[in-house]
Parts: sequence; structure tokens; C-alpha cells
Amino acid sequence: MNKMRILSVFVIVLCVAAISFSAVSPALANTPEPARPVPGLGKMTDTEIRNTWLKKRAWYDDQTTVIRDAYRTADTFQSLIDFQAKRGRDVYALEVALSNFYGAIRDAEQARVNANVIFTSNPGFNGFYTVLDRNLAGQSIIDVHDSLKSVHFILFFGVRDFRTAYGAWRDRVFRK
Amino acid sequence: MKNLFLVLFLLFFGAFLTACQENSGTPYPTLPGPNVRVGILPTATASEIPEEETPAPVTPTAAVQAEVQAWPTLDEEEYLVNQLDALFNKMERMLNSADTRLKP
Repeated sequence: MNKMRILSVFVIVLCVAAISFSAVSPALANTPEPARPVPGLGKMTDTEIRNTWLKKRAWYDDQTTVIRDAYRTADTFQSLIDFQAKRGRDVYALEVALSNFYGAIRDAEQARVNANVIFTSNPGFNGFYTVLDRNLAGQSIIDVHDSLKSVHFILFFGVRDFRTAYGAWRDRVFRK
Repeated sequence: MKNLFLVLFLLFFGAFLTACQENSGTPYPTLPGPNVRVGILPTATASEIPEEETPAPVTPTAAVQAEVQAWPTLDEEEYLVNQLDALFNKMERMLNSADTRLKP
């Protein structure tokens, strides 16, 4: 009888503990991660640092696509120049525009070397983009951002100028 | 004595289970046996078999040729210009959609 009493008390205690943990554990899981200051970036949590880093990485990949398209554009443009030259049209403006565009692509490639080096070494992160050193990770984000931003503007102005020159040539030739 | 009863029980139980089994002759459907016709060997050699004549290519009639030429032909200049426009649009779209903020 005594054993049964001890057993029932034990079971009741277990049930109470299980119920209380089920109520507390979600509350514990939802505890917000503390945002602590990172030099140059303000207050950020580790998750925010990681997400920012991943967004920079996605931006780098997008720029890779743009540069690949830029080379394709230049190739197609060269075909157009050859075609127009065979037809006896003046292609000097097109050649100058293409040369400038190649220069812009080359500048962009040089400007993204630094971003490439940083993404290769992942300072402040491990191989799974987990933050190991907050300050170093923050500095990596700032450095990569500077590099990517300069690449962005080089490409932006390069494409804009190239299209403007091409549009002017088209207007001049096709309106004749 | 007890063990003997146990062995007997297990034997009867096994026999009972065997009796309950579905009594079909072919438990798994199998394909019929291969119908091999032994003894019929090819007697003709390759040189004796007359080769099939390749049909001569059909000359397109005037009506068919007119129908084919009715399709729009792709002008090279137009093709290059369209390709350039598409590439410019794609690059501009990607560059304009880039988020250049330090903390997006």
C-alpha cells in the first residue's frame, strides 16, 4: 500500500512537471536574441549579421550574372558592328562605345577582386556562415559592401553610357 | 511432460496455420515459358537478301515551296538589335533591383 502511494505521488509530480515545462518551453524559445553593437553597423544580433552577410553574397552572385551578360552584350555588339561595317555604315561611334564598355567591365572585374578575396576567406564566419567573431564579421560586411557598391556603380554607369551611345547611333542611322 | 505438451501444441498450431494458408497452385503469377522454336535457323545469307531501295528525295512542288517561303525570315540585323535590347533590359533590371544599402 505504501509503495502504491509513493508511486502515485511520483506520477503526479511527473505530470505536473511535464505540464509546466510544456507551458514554459515555447516562451523560452521565443526569447529574442539580444542585439549588441557592432562597430560601424550599429546594434545587430548574430542572426542579422548572418542574414546581412548572405544578402551581400547574393548581391555578389547577381553582379557575376550582370558581368556575364555584359560580355555577351559586347560580343553581340561586335557582331552588329561587323554587320553594319559590311553594309558600309559608319560604325566609329559604335566602336568607341564598345571600347568604353569593355573598359567598364574591366574596371568592375578589378573592383570586385577584393570582394572575392573576402568571400573566399569568410573572416568572422565559419564555413556555414555562422558568426564566430562579431567585430570581424561586421568589418567583413563593411569591406564587402564597399567593394560591391563600387562594382555596382561602375556597371551601372557603364551600361547606361553604352546604351545611350547605342541609342544615339540607332536614332541617327535608322531615321535616315 | 510439460515440454512434450508444448511441442505438440506448437506442431498443431503450425499445422493449423498451414491449413489456413491460401491453397492456390501458383502463389506468384509468372510469365509463361519461352516459346523457343528450336531448329529453325536462318538459311539465307546477307548477300541473297534483296536490299530495300532507298526512295529518292521528293522534289518540293511549287505549292509547298511557296508555303515554306511564306514563313517570316529572320533578319540578321533585327535579330542582333532585339538580342541587344533584351540584354540591356536584363542588365538594367538587375542593376536597378540591387539593394545598395549597408544594412538591407
